[in-house]
Amino acid sequence: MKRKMILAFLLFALTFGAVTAAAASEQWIHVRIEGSDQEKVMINLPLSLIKAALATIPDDIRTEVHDEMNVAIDGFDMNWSELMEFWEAVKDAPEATFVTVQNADTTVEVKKEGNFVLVNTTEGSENGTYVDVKFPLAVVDALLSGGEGTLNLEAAINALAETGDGHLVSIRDGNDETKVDIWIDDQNISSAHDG
Amino acid sequence: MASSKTFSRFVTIALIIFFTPIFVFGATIAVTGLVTVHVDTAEGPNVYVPVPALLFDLAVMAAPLAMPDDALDEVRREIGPYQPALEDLADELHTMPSGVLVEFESGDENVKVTKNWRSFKVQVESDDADVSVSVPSRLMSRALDVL
Repeated sequence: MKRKMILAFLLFALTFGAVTAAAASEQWIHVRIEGSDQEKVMINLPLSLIKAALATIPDDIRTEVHDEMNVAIDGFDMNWSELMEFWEAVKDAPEATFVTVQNADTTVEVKKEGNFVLVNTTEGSENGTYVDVKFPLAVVDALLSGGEGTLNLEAAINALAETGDGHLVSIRDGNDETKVDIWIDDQNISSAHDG
Repeated sequence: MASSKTFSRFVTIALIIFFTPIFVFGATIAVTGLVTVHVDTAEGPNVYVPVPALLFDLAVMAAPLAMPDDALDEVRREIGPYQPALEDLADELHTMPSGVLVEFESGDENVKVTKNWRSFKVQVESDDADVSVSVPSRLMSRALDVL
């Protein structure tokens, strides 16, 4: 009788452990926006849920997004193949700062560091806004894998999940009244992040 | 002796008649879940309404019967291409790990959406009232099954 109870307990412990481990290994994306007047918004979603939700986006909305993206590419006097060539060049390039734009108000810097493309924008004024974006190369690569004029969002989410934990976006205004943070980890609450 | 046996049978049957609906009701709640609404106002009465999710299932099942055929066809035509994706999403909502999904805090109002095991809970706390609604995570899957 005692042995049966021990076996039952072990079975329960193993099952519970497996379920907990499966839950813990899930990657979550966190968005935290803190504004003035004590306003705070925190969104925590498992990447698997985002992937499932992306598949439900109607075709006409996808087409609209792709059309707008193509208009944006045209705005840089580029077509899709030129964009892909540019991206291949960035991927193959050694670590470097590709773009630095400095004027009286703003400094914009685009650079490659390890497996990431970093975009950093700083407004020069005293209370200027600071934007720090970190794109994993694999995610951009997956995003552009959908063929001409098409973003492969599902592949990008898969790549994001494989990238592992890390900070993706930080936005601060000069007074620290508005803070935006986007990051990924395996925690199901946003308070685990130290900002 | 005979009357004692008859009495005992009568009691057994009465117990079965009494407990069967309770057992069936309990089993139904255990299987389909419970939708609960809890309203706690600062100056008014507190309201707690638990409703077996089975009633929502029945309402969803009855809806196609009450809808005109052309309206139902249109709903099916619009949802049809996305039905597999929606079913996957519904499964994901059901199986996703527990956690705090959305939190909104302002000076006088807090809103929290959480997944807690097999249910979703929306809590709104304000100076006037606290409202909490809990819905089983399987509800969307079952609604899609009917369509």
